[in-house]
Amino acid sequence: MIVRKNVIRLTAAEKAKYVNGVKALKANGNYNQLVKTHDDAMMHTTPNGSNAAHQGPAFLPWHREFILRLEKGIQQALGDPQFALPYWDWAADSALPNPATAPVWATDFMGGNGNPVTTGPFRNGQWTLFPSGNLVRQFGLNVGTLPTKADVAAALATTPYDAAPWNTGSNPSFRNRVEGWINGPQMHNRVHVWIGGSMLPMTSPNDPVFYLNHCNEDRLWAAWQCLNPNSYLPVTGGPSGHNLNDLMWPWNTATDKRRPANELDYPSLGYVYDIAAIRSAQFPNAYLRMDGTGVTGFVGPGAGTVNCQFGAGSWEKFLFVPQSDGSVAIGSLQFPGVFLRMDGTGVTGFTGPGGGQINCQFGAGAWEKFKLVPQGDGTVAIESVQFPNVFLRMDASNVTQFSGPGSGIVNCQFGAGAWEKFRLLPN
Amino acid sequence: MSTGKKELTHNGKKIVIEGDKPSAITIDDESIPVRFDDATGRYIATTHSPYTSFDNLADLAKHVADHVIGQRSN
Repeated sequence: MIVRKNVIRLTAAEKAKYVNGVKALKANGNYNQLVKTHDDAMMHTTPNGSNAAHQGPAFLPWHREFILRLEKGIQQALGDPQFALPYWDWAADSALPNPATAPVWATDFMGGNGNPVTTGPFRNGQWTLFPSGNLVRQFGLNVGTLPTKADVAAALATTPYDAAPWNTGSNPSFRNRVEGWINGPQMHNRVHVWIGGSMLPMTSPNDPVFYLNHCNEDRLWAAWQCLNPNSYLPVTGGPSGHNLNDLMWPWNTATDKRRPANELDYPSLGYVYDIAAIRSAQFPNAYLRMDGTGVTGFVGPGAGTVNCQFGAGSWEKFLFVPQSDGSVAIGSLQFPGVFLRMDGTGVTGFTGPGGGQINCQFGAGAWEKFKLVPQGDGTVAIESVQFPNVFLRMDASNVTQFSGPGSGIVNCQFGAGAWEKFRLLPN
Repeated sequence: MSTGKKELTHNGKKIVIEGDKPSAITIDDESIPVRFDDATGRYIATTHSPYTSFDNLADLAKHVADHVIGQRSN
């Protein structure tokens, strides 16, 4: 399982990996092929005005697959299976006095504004567009602002996933709101238009920031999916290529088949996002809560309290920290340096009330490492690395309203059933 | 409703629009594919600027002339 990080939390080495990765794909021709695929998809139109990848329900699953292919290509090119595509939280940058100075535009990452761009790794002379030309950005020339956090909140509150007529006119529609056609350009569309230049035409993947934008939209979809599981629409009756089980162009060949249905369970596609609340799949609106008060140094038996909360505030948000062995440590966002600890001693068979102990530790050692195990239904089980087949268990039977100290029981179970399944709610 | 040919010059570029719902317009003889979006009643430059839409073709043409064609760097 790889962890996709916010660009603001990338190390210099991680930024270099993305830059070097896309340049490796440019050199071997795969980057230009992706640009062409996107370009061609826009020409693959349907009678209701949609094309294979836009202006219809498949907008999100198509791009989930598309950015995965870049991510896997970079993993292969760099020989690094843990490489994860970063995301750009443009709504956070919209609140800055000058979004053009945000970290994403640093000279060691995307570089800045200009015609042509003259700073950063993709500046004039260092990066050639497909089929030709140099990278151009014209921040704020076409629209003055990026989408805001209020725009994101409104989108996440929108249901259903999509609606007839399954195109730019769909409303209410989460997809159409995220794509940005309602009172547009908004959200995704607005990001393209705000950057301008090479991000305006259908060859927009020419700008490597394209993927960071779409990774963010994918994160928003993942959040919406946590709140609205198993709710992709349409199952039937939409434009060809956009129904749940339709093949999506161009992945409609004998050897390469992808459908929206294949893209819904993103943990099974091998990734999660770096900050998320951990929501019980069994108990609606019950989240893992960590109180790391006083946990300021390592103590053998751990300390603090881990239980449940109704709803997710700052004590229910966690940082997934990738480990070199492919596992993750699960840190508190509220209590920096404090991690989820599992003592699965003696948990060697299923018991109804669970067993073992879950609490907090300062720092992450062997007992604080976990595998996120996809369950095939959009959920994950959280398995101890130290105690194989011992999983995080949540009993939130009586957790029906917010209580300050939290409530319910969080402990361990041998094997993963319904009470050991969780949905991740990216922050 | 006008269905005739409209020619205008914008920032030194010659724009030609024929009909109310054409499949393309031209800017300095470059064909710009366009689509009238029945769902929103607005126009989209399907290849040159597919992420935004406009109330009318003249505004679309000016946007493409200024911000797509006019900003190309070779």
